[in-house]
Amino acid sequence: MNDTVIDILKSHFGHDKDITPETNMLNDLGGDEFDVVDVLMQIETQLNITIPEEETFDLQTVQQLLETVEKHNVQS
Amino acid sequence: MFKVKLILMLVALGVAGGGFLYVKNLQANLAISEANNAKLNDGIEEQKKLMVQMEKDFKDIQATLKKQQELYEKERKENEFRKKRFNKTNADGKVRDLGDLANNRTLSVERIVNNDFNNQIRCNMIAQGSPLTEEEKAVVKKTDPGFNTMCPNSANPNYKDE
Repeated sequence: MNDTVIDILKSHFGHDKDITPETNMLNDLGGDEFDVVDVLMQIETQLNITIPEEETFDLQTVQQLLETVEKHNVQS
Repeated sequence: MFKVKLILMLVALGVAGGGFLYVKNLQANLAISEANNAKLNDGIEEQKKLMVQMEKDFKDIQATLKKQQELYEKERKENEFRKKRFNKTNADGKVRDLGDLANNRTLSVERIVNNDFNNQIRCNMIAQGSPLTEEEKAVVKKTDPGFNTMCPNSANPNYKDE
């Protein structure tokens, strides 16, 4: 699951980007709030899960993203 | 002999009278020349004042032009930033589809757009001369409070767009 998320992040932000759990999608990857929404949509599609929007409003770091995805991946 | 003396006297008187008139004429001409000279000097002073004023006006125009160019450049950067925000292409070459995002994650997009709308109002206020807040001045990255998603070049002078 983590690899899938990292792959999606790399294909979205750039394969040359160094992505760690501490990476901030806005500050470190040059993204914005729409990018986070876009990435979440891609994750939902690829992992076939649903993540409630209310839980994603303030997502910034890869760690937060992984935790949120993991929570809903386990549930599904 | 008396006649000769009389003639000489008359000639002398004539010469003296002519000389007097000549000198008088010279004095009159000199007075006119002095008056003309004074007028010319006044004219030169006026010209000098005019040149100083023109130089000042020219500098003011240059300063205004520079300010206009800076404003234009700032506005151009803001437009680029907004264009990128709404039509961004990701690393895989896919162009951002706001409609698709809004259809699938309505609440999130609505929240972002509302925030952008408020930020745009602030951008307009700044463009009209509203001073920047300390929070806006302190922004160096996107996650700092006070970051303006619509016009960071104007609202956040210490933020460097990547």
